[in-house]
Amino acid sequence: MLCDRCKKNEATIHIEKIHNGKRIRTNLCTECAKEQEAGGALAALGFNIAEVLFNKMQQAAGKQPVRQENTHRGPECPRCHWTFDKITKHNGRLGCPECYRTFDNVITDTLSKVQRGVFHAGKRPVDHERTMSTVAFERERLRLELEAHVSREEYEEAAVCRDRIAQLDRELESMKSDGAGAEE
Amino acid sequence: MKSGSVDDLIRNPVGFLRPDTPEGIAISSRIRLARNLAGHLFPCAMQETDRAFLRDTVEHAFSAARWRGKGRWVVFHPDEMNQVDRDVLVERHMASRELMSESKGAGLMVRVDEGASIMVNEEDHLRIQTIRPGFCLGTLWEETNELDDRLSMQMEYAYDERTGYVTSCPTNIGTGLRVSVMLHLPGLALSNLIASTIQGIGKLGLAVRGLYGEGSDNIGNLFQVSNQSTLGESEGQIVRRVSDVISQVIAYERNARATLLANDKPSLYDFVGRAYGTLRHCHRIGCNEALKCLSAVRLGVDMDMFDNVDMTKVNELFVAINPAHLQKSAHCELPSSERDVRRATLCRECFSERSK
Ligand SMILES: [Zn+2]
Ligand SMILES: [Zn+2]
Repeated sequence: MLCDRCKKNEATIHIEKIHNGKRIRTNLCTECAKEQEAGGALAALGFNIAEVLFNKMQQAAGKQPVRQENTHRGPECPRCHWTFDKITKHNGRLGCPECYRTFDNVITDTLSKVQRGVFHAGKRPVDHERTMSTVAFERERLRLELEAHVSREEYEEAAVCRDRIAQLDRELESMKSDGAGAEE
Repeated sequence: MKSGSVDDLIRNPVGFLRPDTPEGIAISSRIRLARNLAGHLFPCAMQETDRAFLRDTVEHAFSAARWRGKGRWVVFHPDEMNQVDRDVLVERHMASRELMSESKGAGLMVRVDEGASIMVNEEDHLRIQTIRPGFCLGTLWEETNELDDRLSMQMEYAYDERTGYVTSCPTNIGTGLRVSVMLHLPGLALSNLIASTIQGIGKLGLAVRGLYGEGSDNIGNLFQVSNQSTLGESEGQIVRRVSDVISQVIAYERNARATLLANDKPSLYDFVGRAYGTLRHCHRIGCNEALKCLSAVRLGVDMDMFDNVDMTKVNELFVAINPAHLQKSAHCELPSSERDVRRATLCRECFSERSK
Protein backbone atom coordinates (compact mmCIF):
# COMPACT_ATOMS: atom_id res chain seq x y z
CA MET A 1 0.00 0.00 0.00
CA LEU A 2 1.35 3.43 -0.93
CA CYS A 3 1.56 6.41 1.42
CA ASP A 4 -1.51 8.70 1.20
CA ARG A 5 0.65 11.78 1.42
CA CYS A 6 3.65 11.37 -0.88
CA LYS A 7 2.17 8.52 -2.94
CA LYS A 8 5.71 7.21 -3.40
CA ASN A 9 6.87 5.19 -0.41
CA GLU A 10 5.31 2.10 1.06
CA ALA A 11 2.91 3.03 3.87
CA THR A 12 4.05 1.63 7.19
CA ILE A 13 1.94 3.59 9.62
CA HIS A 14 -1.79 3.18 9.62
CA ILE A 15 -3.86 5.49 11.72
CA GLU A 16 -7.45 4.80 12.45
CA LYS A 17 -9.73 7.52 13.64
CA ILE A 18 -13.30 6.90 14.62
CA HIS A 19 -15.49 9.83 13.79
CA ASN A 20 -19.25 9.81 14.26
CA GLY A 21 -19.12 6.05 14.27
CA LYS A 22 -17.27 5.95 10.94
CA ARG A 23 -13.75 4.65 10.64
CA ILE A 24 -11.35 6.87 8.76
CA ARG A 25 -7.99 5.34 7.94
CA THR A 26 -4.87 7.23 6.97
CA ASN A 27 -1.84 5.40 5.65
CA LEU A 28 1.54 7.09 5.84
CA CYS A 29 5.15 6.19 5.23
CA THR A 30 7.57 6.63 8.12
CA GLU A 31 9.04 9.81 6.61
CA CYS A 32 5.70 11.53 6.11
CA ALA A 33 4.45 10.47 9.53
CA LYS A 34 7.56 11.91 11.11
CA GLU A 35 7.14 15.16 9.23
CA GLN A 36 3.47 15.43 10.10
CA GLU A 37 4.10 14.69 13.73
CA ALA A 38 6.92 17.22 13.91
CA GLY A 39 4.37 19.84 12.91
CA GLY A 40 1.87 18.42 15.37
CA ALA A 41 -0.43 18.02 12.40
CA LEU A 42 -1.59 14.56 13.35
CA ALA A 43 -2.67 15.74 16.75
CA ALA A 44 -4.27 18.80 15.21
CA LEU A 45 -6.36 16.46 13.13
CA GLY A 46 -7.42 14.71 16.29
CA PHE A 47 -5.31 11.62 15.78
CA ASN A 48 -4.23 9.76 18.82
CA ILE A 49 -0.45 9.79 19.04
CA ALA A 50 -0.63 6.70 21.17
CA GLU A 51 -1.95 4.80 18.20
CA VAL A 52 0.86 5.98 16.01
CA LEU A 53 3.26 4.88 18.70
CA PHE A 54 1.91 1.46 19.05
CA ASN A 55 1.67 0.83 15.36
CA LYS A 56 5.40 1.44 15.49
CA MET A 57 5.70 -0.94 18.40
CA GLN A 58 4.03 -3.64 16.41
CA GLN A 59 6.51 -3.16 13.62
CA ALA A 60 9.30 -3.50 16.14
CA ALA A 61 7.75 -6.77 17.23
CA GLY A 62 8.03 -7.92 13.64
CA LYS A 63 4.38 -7.69 12.79
CA GLN A 64 2.24 -6.09 10.16
CA PRO A 65 1.38 -2.67 11.55
CA VAL A 66 -2.28 -3.07 10.65
CA ARG A 67 -4.58 -4.35 13.36
CA GLN A 68 -4.90 -8.06 12.92
CA GLU A 69 -5.90 -10.78 15.30
CA ASN A 70 -2.77 -12.87 14.95
CA THR A 71 -0.98 -15.26 17.18
CA HIS A 72 0.95 -12.94 19.43
CA ARG A 73 4.66 -12.54 19.28
CA GLY A 74 6.98 -10.47 21.37
CA PRO A 75 7.15 -10.31 25.15
CA GLU A 76 4.30 -10.79 27.60
CA CYS A 77 4.09 -8.86 30.88
CA PRO A 78 4.59 -11.28 33.77
CA ARG A 79 2.25 -9.32 36.01
CA CYS A 80 -0.77 -8.44 33.90
CA HIS A 81 -0.10 -10.72 30.89
CA TRP A 82 -0.41 -7.82 28.46
CA THR A 83 1.06 -8.33 24.96
CA PHE A 84 1.60 -5.99 21.98
CA ASP A 85 -1.75 -7.18 20.68
CA LYS A 86 -3.54 -6.14 23.82
CA ILE A 87 -1.76 -2.79 23.93
CA THR A 88 -2.88 -2.09 20.38
CA LYS A 89 -6.41 -3.23 21.09
CA HIS A 90 -6.53 -0.81 24.01
CA ASN A 91 -5.31 2.20 21.98
CA GLY A 92 -1.79 2.18 23.35
CA ARG A 93 -2.63 1.62 27.01
CA LEU A 94 -0.48 -0.60 29.17
CA GLY A 95 -1.88 -3.05 31.70
CA CYS A 96 0.28 -2.27 34.73
CA PRO A 97 3.40 -0.37 35.82
CA GLU A 98 5.48 -3.50 35.22
CA CYS A 99 4.63 -3.25 31.48
CA TYR A 100 7.06 -0.33 31.27
CA ARG A 101 9.87 -2.77 32.03
CA THR A 102 8.46 -5.56 29.86
CA PHE A 103 8.13 -3.39 26.77
CA ASP A 104 11.03 -1.11 27.71
CA ASN A 105 12.90 -1.09 24.38
CA VAL A 106 10.04 0.08 22.27
CA ILE A 107 8.55 2.44 24.83
CA THR A 108 11.81 4.32 25.41
CA ASP A 109 12.40 4.59 21.70
CA THR A 110 8.93 5.86 20.89
CA LEU A 111 8.59 8.09 23.96
CA SER A 112 11.47 10.19 22.74
CA LYS A 113 9.30 11.14 19.76
CA VAL A 114 6.48 12.58 21.88
CA GLN A 115 8.14 13.63 25.10
CA ARG A 116 10.58 16.52 25.48
CA GLY A 117 12.79 14.65 27.93
CA VAL A 118 13.45 11.22 29.32
CA PHE A 119 13.55 12.05 33.04
CA HIS A 120 10.81 13.30 35.30
CA ALA A 121 11.44 16.92 36.27
CA GLY A 122 8.23 17.66 38.15
CA LYS A 123 6.77 17.25 41.61
CA ARG A 124 6.75 14.11 43.74
CA PRO A 125 4.05 12.78 46.01
CA VAL A 126 3.88 14.21 49.50
CA ASP A 127 5.26 11.55 51.83
CA HIS A 128 2.61 9.00 52.26
CA GLU A 129 2.03 9.15 55.99
CA ARG A 130 2.59 5.67 57.33
CA THR A 131 0.76 5.46 60.62
CA MET A 132 -0.86 2.53 62.37
CA SER A 133 -4.22 3.48 60.97
CA THR A 134 -3.03 3.63 57.35
CA VAL A 135 -1.25 0.29 57.74
CA ALA A 136 -4.36 -1.20 59.28
CA PHE A 137 -6.38 0.24 56.42
CA GLU A 138 -4.08 -1.31 53.85
CA ARG A 139 -4.29 -4.62 55.68
CA GLU A 140 -8.08 -4.52 55.58
CA ARG A 141 -7.98 -3.71 51.89
CA LEU A 142 -5.71 -6.68 51.26
CA ARG A 143 -7.87 -8.98 53.35
CA LEU A 144 -10.88 -8.17 51.16
CA GLU A 145 -8.75 -8.57 48.06
CA LEU A 146 -7.57 -11.94 49.33
CA GLU A 147 -11.16 -13.10 49.82
CA ALA A 148 -12.04 -11.99 46.30
CA HIS A 149 -9.09 -13.92 44.84
CA VAL A 150 -9.99 -17.06 46.79
CA SER A 151 -13.59 -16.89 45.63
CA ARG A 152 -12.35 -16.68 42.03
CA GLU A 153 -9.90 -19.52 42.68
CA GLU A 154 -6.93 -17.29 41.82
CA TYR A 155 -4.56 -18.96 44.27
CA GLU A 156 -1.34 -17.40 43.03
CA GLU A 157 -2.67 -13.86 43.54
CA ALA A 158 -4.16 -14.90 46.86
CA ALA A 159 -0.76 -16.12 48.03
CA VAL A 160 0.78 -12.73 47.19
CA CYS A 161 -1.89 -10.99 49.29
CA ARG A 162 -1.39 -13.43 52.15
CA ASP A 163 2.37 -12.80 52.23
CA ARG A 164 1.87 -9.03 52.12
CA ILE A 165 -0.64 -9.25 54.99
CA ALA A 166 1.88 -11.18 57.07
CA GLN A 167 4.44 -8.47 56.33
CA LEU A 168 2.01 -5.75 57.41
CA ASP A 169 1.23 -7.66 60.61
CA ARG A 170 4.92 -7.65 61.46
CA GLU A 171 5.06 -3.93 60.70
CA LEU A 172 2.07 -3.29 62.96
CA GLU A 173 3.71 -5.29 65.74
CA SER A 174 6.91 -3.24 65.54
CA MET A 175 4.92 0.01 65.41
CA LYS A 176 3.16 -1.01 68.62
CA SER A 177 6.44 -1.74 70.37
CA ASP A 178 8.02 1.48 69.02
CA GLY A 179 5.18 3.46 70.48
CA ALA A 180 3.08 3.98 67.33
CA GLY A 181 3.13 6.24 64.30
CA ALA A 182 6.78 5.72 63.39
CA GLU A 183 7.97 6.15 59.83
CA GLU A 184 8.53 3.13 57.64
CA MET B 1 -19.52 11.51 51.08
CA LYS B 2 -22.93 12.56 49.88
CA SER B 3 -24.33 10.99 46.73
CA GLY B 4 -24.67 13.55 43.98
CA SER B 5 -27.82 14.47 42.11
CA VAL B 6 -27.69 15.70 38.55
CA ASP B 7 -30.92 17.61 39.21
CA ASP B 8 -29.12 19.66 41.85
CA LEU B 9 -26.21 20.47 39.55
CA ILE B 10 -28.38 21.47 36.63
CA ARG B 11 -30.16 24.13 38.71
CA ASN B 12 -26.93 26.18 38.72
CA PRO B 13 -25.26 27.84 35.79
CA VAL B 14 -22.38 25.76 34.42
CA GLY B 15 -19.31 26.35 36.57
CA PHE B 16 -16.76 27.10 33.88
CA LEU B 17 -19.07 29.55 32.11
CA ARG B 18 -20.00 31.55 35.18
CA PRO B 19 -20.62 35.27 34.68
CA ASP B 20 -18.30 37.90 33.37
CA THR B 21 -15.45 35.95 31.96
CA PRO B 22 -13.02 38.84 31.73
CA GLU B 23 -11.47 37.48 28.56
CA GLY B 24 -13.86 36.91 25.66
CA ILE B 25 -11.39 34.96 23.56
CA ALA B 26 -10.27 32.45 26.20
CA ILE B 27 -13.45 30.79 27.38
CA SER B 28 -12.09 28.47 30.05
CA SER B 29 -8.89 27.00 31.45
CA ARG B 30 -8.58 23.35 32.44
CA ILE B 31 -5.98 21.24 34.18
CA ARG B 32 -5.89 17.48 34.48
CA LEU B 33 -3.57 15.22 36.46
CA ALA B 34 -3.33 11.48 35.77
CA ARG B 35 -2.57 9.42 38.88
CA ASN B 36 -2.53 5.70 39.68
CA LEU B 37 -2.44 3.83 42.95
CA ALA B 38 0.58 1.69 43.72
CA GLY B 39 0.10 -2.06 43.76
CA HIS B 40 -2.77 -2.28 41.29
CA LEU B 41 -3.13 -3.07 37.60
CA PHE B 42 -4.33 -0.15 35.47
CA PRO B 43 -8.13 0.10 35.03
CA CYS B 44 -8.17 -1.41 31.52
CA ALA B 45 -6.54 -4.59 32.85
CA MET B 46 -8.60 -4.83 36.04
CA GLN B 47 -11.56 -7.09 36.71
CA GLU B 48 -14.89 -5.36 37.23
CA THR B 49 -15.04 -6.29 40.90
CA ASP B 50 -11.53 -4.97 41.48
CA ARG B 51 -12.45 -1.70 39.83
CA ALA B 52 -15.49 -1.32 42.08
CA PHE B 53 -13.28 -2.16 45.05
CA LEU B 54 -10.68 0.43 44.10
CA ARG B 55 -13.45 2.98 43.70
CA ASP B 56 -14.57 2.28 47.28
CA THR B 57 -10.99 2.61 48.51
CA VAL B 58 -10.58 5.98 46.81
CA GLU B 59 -13.89 7.30 48.14
CA HIS B 60 -12.91 6.16 51.61
CA ALA B 61 -9.51 7.86 51.40
CA PHE B 62 -11.08 10.95 49.90
CA SER B 63 -13.53 11.33 52.79
CA ALA B 64 -10.63 10.90 55.18
CA ALA B 65 -8.73 13.82 53.64
CA ARG B 66 -9.33 17.03 55.53
CA TRP B 67 -10.54 19.58 53.00
CA ARG B 68 -10.82 22.55 55.33
CA GLY B 69 -13.70 24.38 53.76
CA LYS B 70 -12.54 23.84 50.19
CA GLY B 71 -16.13 23.32 49.09
CA ARG B 72 -18.59 20.47 49.29
CA TRP B 73 -18.10 17.36 47.18
CA VAL B 74 -20.60 14.80 45.95
CA VAL B 75 -20.08 11.37 44.44
CA PHE B 76 -21.60 9.71 41.38
CA HIS B 77 -21.55 6.08 40.28
CA PRO B 78 -22.15 6.06 36.52
CA ASP B 79 -23.19 2.40 36.58
CA GLU B 80 -26.17 3.36 38.72
CA MET B 81 -27.27 6.33 36.58
CA ASN B 82 -29.49 6.64 33.53
CA GLN B 83 -28.11 7.68 30.15
CA VAL B 84 -29.45 11.25 30.18
CA ASP B 85 -27.95 12.02 33.59
CA ARG B 86 -24.61 10.60 32.49
CA ASP B 87 -24.66 12.73 29.33
CA VAL B 88 -25.45 15.84 31.37
CA LEU B 89 -22.18 15.38 33.28
CA VAL B 90 -20.27 15.04 30.00
CA GLU B 91 -21.94 18.13 28.51
CA ARG B 92 -20.97 20.08 31.63
CA HIS B 93 -17.34 18.90 31.19
CA MET B 94 -17.34 17.18 34.58
CA ALA B 95 -16.56 13.75 33.13
CA SER B 96 -15.36 12.25 29.88
CA ARG B 97 -17.63 10.29 27.59
CA GLU B 98 -15.36 7.34 28.12
CA LEU B 99 -15.89 7.31 31.89
CA MET B 100 -19.62 7.43 31.36
CA SER B 101 -19.74 4.59 28.84
CA GLU B 102 -17.16 2.18 30.31
CA SER B 103 -19.01 2.64 33.51
CA LYS B 104 -18.67 -0.67 35.42
CA GLY B 105 -16.81 0.22 38.60
CA ALA B 106 -16.21 3.81 37.46
CA GLY B 107 -16.69 6.69 39.84
CA LEU B 108 -16.89 10.45 39.77
CA MET B 109 -16.48 13.01 42.51
CA VAL B 110 -17.61 16.54 41.80
CA ARG B 111 -17.11 19.68 43.83
CA VAL B 112 -20.54 21.28 43.85
CA ASP B 113 -19.31 24.56 42.38
CA GLU B 114 -18.21 22.36 39.42
CA GLY B 115 -14.72 23.84 39.50
CA ALA B 116 -13.14 20.47 40.24
CA SER B 117 -13.87 16.81 39.70
CA ILE B 118 -12.09 13.49 40.08
CA MET B 119 -12.74 10.63 37.70
CA VAL B 120 -12.05 7.18 39.11
CA ASN B 121 -11.15 4.24 36.89
CA GLU B 122 -11.15 6.02 33.57
CA GLU B 123 -7.89 5.53 31.63
CA ASP B 124 -6.02 5.90 34.93
CA HIS B 125 -7.18 5.21 38.48
CA LEU B 126 -7.52 8.93 39.13
CA ARG B 127 -7.99 11.87 36.83
CA ILE B 128 -7.97 15.02 38.92
CA GLN B 129 -9.46 17.92 36.97
CA THR B 130 -10.05 21.57 37.60
CA ILE B 131 -11.76 24.08 35.35
CA ARG B 132 -12.34 27.82 35.57
CA PRO B 133 -13.67 30.53 33.30
CA GLY B 134 -11.13 32.68 31.48
CA PHE B 135 -7.39 32.34 31.03
CA CYS B 136 -5.86 31.53 34.41
CA LEU B 137 -3.58 28.48 34.17
CA GLY B 138 -1.20 29.70 36.88
CA THR B 139 -3.71 30.01 39.71
CA LEU B 140 -5.54 26.91 38.49
CA TRP B 141 -2.31 24.91 38.73
CA GLU B 142 -1.81 26.03 42.35
CA GLU B 143 -5.30 24.83 43.20
CA THR B 144 -4.83 21.50 41.40
CA ASN B 145 -1.43 20.97 42.98
CA GLU B 146 -2.86 21.40 46.45
CA LEU B 147 -5.74 19.01 45.77
CA ASP B 148 -3.23 16.44 44.49
CA ASP B 149 -0.99 16.87 47.57
CA ARG B 150 -3.88 16.29 49.92
CA LEU B 151 -4.94 13.18 48.07
CA SER B 152 -1.40 11.81 47.97
CA MET B 153 -1.26 11.93 51.76
CA GLN B 154 -4.20 9.54 51.89
CA MET B 155 -3.20 7.02 49.25
CA GLU B 156 0.02 5.75 47.79
CA TYR B 157 0.51 6.78 44.18
CA ALA B 158 2.43 4.70 41.65
CA TYR B 159 5.55 6.84 41.30
CA ASP B 160 9.01 6.17 39.92
CA GLU B 161 11.99 8.43 40.65
CA ARG B 162 13.14 8.33 37.03
CA THR B 163 9.86 8.52 35.11
CA GLY B 164 7.63 10.22 37.67
CA TYR B 165 3.96 9.39 37.96
CA VAL B 166 3.28 6.10 36.22
CA THR B 167 0.34 6.23 33.82
CA SER B 168 -1.54 3.69 31.73
CA CYS B 169 -0.55 5.41 28.49
CA PRO B 170 3.11 6.42 28.02
CA THR B 171 1.97 9.71 26.48
CA ASN B 172 1.01 10.92 29.99
CA ILE B 173 3.96 9.65 32.00
CA GLY B 174 6.08 11.98 34.15
CA THR B 175 3.93 14.82 35.41
CA GLY B 176 0.67 13.26 34.20
CA LEU B 177 -0.24 16.87 33.49
CA ARG B 178 -2.43 18.19 30.72
CA VAL B 179 -3.18 21.91 30.76
CA SER B 180 -5.56 23.33 28.22
CA VAL B 181 -7.39 26.50 27.34
CA MET B 182 -10.55 26.66 25.28
CA LEU B 183 -10.29 29.46 22.75
CA HIS B 184 -12.94 31.12 20.64
CA LEU B 185 -11.25 32.03 17.36
CA PRO B 186 -13.85 33.22 14.83
CA GLY B 187 -11.71 36.17 13.75
CA LEU B 188 -8.87 33.95 12.59
CA ALA B 189 -11.35 31.57 10.96
CA LEU B 190 -13.08 34.38 9.03
CA SER B 191 -9.68 35.68 7.90
CA ASN B 192 -8.66 32.22 6.67
CA LEU B 193 -5.77 32.23 9.09
CA ILE B 194 -6.92 29.36 11.25
CA ALA B 195 -5.09 26.55 9.43
CA SER B 196 -1.74 28.31 9.59
CA THR B 197 -2.35 29.23 13.23
CA ILE B 198 -3.05 25.61 14.13
CA GLN B 199 0.05 24.58 12.26
CA GLY B 200 2.09 27.17 14.12
CA ILE B 201 0.76 26.00 17.47
CA GLY B 202 1.68 22.45 16.47
CA LYS B 203 5.22 23.51 15.62
CA LEU B 204 5.54 24.80 19.17
CA GLY B 205 4.75 21.31 20.42
CA LEU B 206 1.17 21.90 21.50
CA ALA B 207 -1.97 20.05 20.43
CA VAL B 208 -5.15 21.64 19.10
CA ARG B 209 -8.48 19.88 19.47
CA GLY B 210 -12.20 20.60 19.13
CA LEU B 211 -14.78 21.39 21.80
CA TYR B 212 -15.14 17.93 23.28
CA GLY B 213 -11.51 16.86 23.12
CA GLU B 214 -9.76 14.23 21.10
CA GLY B 215 -11.23 13.53 17.70
CA SER B 216 -13.98 16.13 17.89
CA ASP B 217 -14.50 18.83 15.29
CA ASN B 218 -13.95 22.48 15.92
CA ILE B 219 -17.61 23.34 15.71
CA GLY B 220 -18.26 27.01 16.29
CA ASN B 221 -14.56 27.89 16.00
CA LEU B 222 -13.90 26.62 19.50
CA PHE B 223 -10.43 25.18 19.95
CA GLN B 224 -8.70 23.52 22.86
CA VAL B 225 -4.98 24.11 23.00
CA SER B 226 -2.96 21.84 25.29
CA ASN B 227 0.52 20.50 25.95
CA GLN B 228 1.56 17.18 24.38
CA SER B 229 4.71 16.40 26.31
CA THR B 230 4.40 15.42 29.96
CA LEU B 231 7.95 14.20 30.64
CA GLY B 232 11.18 16.20 30.93
CA GLU B 233 9.75 19.51 32.13
CA SER B 234 8.34 20.56 35.49
CA GLU B 235 4.66 21.40 35.88
CA GLY B 236 5.56 25.08 36.17
CA GLN B 237 7.52 24.99 32.91
CA ILE B 238 4.63 23.30 31.11
CA VAL B 239 2.14 25.85 32.44
CA ARG B 240 4.40 28.74 31.37
CA ARG B 241 5.08 27.32 27.93
CA VAL B 242 1.38 26.80 27.20
CA SER B 243 0.46 30.19 28.68
CA ASP B 244 3.00 31.95 26.45
CA VAL B 245 1.53 30.38 23.33
CA ILE B 246 -2.05 31.11 24.42
CA SER B 247 -1.25 34.79 24.99
CA GLN B 248 0.17 34.93 21.49
CA VAL B 249 -2.88 33.26 19.93
CA ILE B 250 -5.18 35.65 21.80
CA ALA B 251 -3.19 38.57 20.38
CA TYR B 252 -3.48 37.11 16.84
CA GLU B 253 -7.23 36.70 17.23
CA ARG B 254 -7.62 40.26 18.49
CA ASN B 255 -5.56 41.50 15.61
CA ALA B 256 -7.61 39.50 13.08
CA ARG B 257 -10.83 40.97 14.48
CA ALA B 258 -9.49 44.51 14.29
CA THR B 259 -8.35 43.96 10.70
CA LEU B 260 -11.75 42.60 9.70
CA LEU B 261 -13.47 45.55 11.29
CA ALA B 262 -11.21 48.00 9.49
CA ASN B 263 -11.19 46.32 6.07
CA ASP B 264 -14.48 44.55 5.68
CA LYS B 265 -16.96 45.69 8.26
CA PRO B 266 -20.06 44.72 6.20
CA SER B 267 -18.93 41.08 5.91
CA LEU B 268 -18.24 40.88 9.61
CA TYR B 269 -21.62 42.41 10.56
CA ASP B 270 -23.37 40.23 8.01
CA PHE B 271 -21.81 37.10 9.49
CA VAL B 272 -22.90 38.00 13.00
CA GLY B 273 -26.28 39.42 12.02
CA ARG B 274 -27.38 36.39 10.01
CA ALA B 275 -26.49 34.08 12.88
CA TYR B 276 -28.46 36.29 15.26
CA GLY B 277 -31.41 36.24 12.85
CA THR B 278 -31.33 32.46 12.68
CA LEU B 279 -31.35 32.04 16.45
CA ARG B 280 -33.99 34.72 16.85
CA HIS B 281 -36.40 33.22 14.33
CA CYS B 282 -35.71 29.50 13.99
CA HIS B 283 -38.34 26.88 14.79
CA ARG B 284 -36.19 23.82 14.28
CA ILE B 285 -32.42 23.77 14.64
CA GLY B 286 -29.75 21.07 14.99
CA CYS B 287 -27.06 21.14 17.63
CA ASN B 288 -24.18 21.92 15.26
CA GLU B 289 -25.97 24.74 13.47
CA ALA B 290 -26.97 26.24 16.80
CA LEU B 291 -23.36 26.06 18.00
CA LYS B 292 -22.13 27.77 14.84
CA CYS B 293 -24.69 30.56 15.21
CA LEU B 294 -23.98 30.99 18.91
CA SER B 295 -20.30 31.25 18.11
CA ALA B 296 -20.97 34.06 15.65
CA VAL B 297 -23.28 35.90 18.04
CA ARG B 298 -20.69 35.51 20.79
CA LEU B 299 -18.20 37.27 18.51
CA GLY B 300 -20.71 40.08 18.03
CA VAL B 301 -21.27 40.43 21.78
CA ASP B 302 -17.54 40.45 22.40
CA MET B 303 -17.14 43.23 19.79
CA ASP B 304 -19.96 45.32 21.28
CA MET B 305 -22.23 44.96 18.27
CA PHE B 306 -25.30 44.38 20.46
CA ASP B 307 -26.71 46.36 23.30
CA ASN B 308 -29.38 43.83 24.17
CA VAL B 309 -27.52 40.52 24.34
CA ASP B 310 -25.82 39.34 27.49
CA MET B 311 -22.58 37.31 27.25
CA THR B 312 -23.51 35.10 30.21
CA LYS B 313 -26.69 34.07 28.46
CA VAL B 314 -24.87 33.22 25.25
CA ASN B 315 -22.30 31.21 27.19
CA GLU B 316 -24.98 29.26 28.99
CA LEU B 317 -26.77 28.43 25.76
CA PHE B 318 -23.58 26.71 24.55
CA VAL B 319 -24.33 24.04 27.15
CA ALA B 320 -28.13 24.25 27.39
CA ILE B 321 -28.69 23.40 23.69
CA ASN B 322 -26.98 20.01 24.03
CA PRO B 323 -29.17 16.90 23.82
CA ALA B 324 -29.02 15.74 27.44
CA HIS B 325 -29.62 19.22 28.85
CA LEU B 326 -32.64 19.68 26.58
CA GLN B 327 -34.06 16.35 27.69
CA LYS B 328 -33.36 17.11 31.32
CA SER B 329 -35.28 20.37 31.12
CA ALA B 330 -38.16 18.59 29.35
CA HIS B 331 -38.15 15.93 32.09
CA CYS B 332 -38.30 13.16 29.50
CA GLU B 333 -36.37 11.51 26.69
CA LEU B 334 -36.90 13.19 23.34
CA PRO B 335 -36.23 11.97 19.80
CA SER B 336 -33.80 14.09 17.81
CA SER B 337 -36.55 15.86 15.81
CA GLU B 338 -38.29 16.89 19.04
CA ARG B 339 -35.02 18.16 20.42
CA ASP B 340 -34.49 20.35 17.35
CA VAL B 341 -37.86 22.02 18.00
CA ARG B 342 -37.15 22.53 21.71
CA ARG B 343 -33.67 23.84 20.98
CA ALA B 344 -35.14 26.40 18.57
CA THR B 345 -37.68 27.50 21.18
CA LEU B 346 -34.94 27.93 23.74
CA CYS B 347 -32.87 30.09 21.35
CA ARG B 348 -35.86 32.20 20.27
CA GLU B 349 -36.84 32.85 23.87
CA CYS B 350 -33.33 33.79 24.85
CA PHE B 351 -32.89 36.31 22.04
CA SER B 352 -36.36 37.79 22.01
CA GLU B 353 -36.38 38.82 25.66
CA ARG B 354 -34.35 41.90 24.85
CA SER B 355 -32.99 42.04 28.32
CA LYS B 356 -29.61 43.49 29.05
ZN1 LIG C 1 4.94 9.35 2.35
ZN1 LIG D 1 1.86 -5.33 32.80
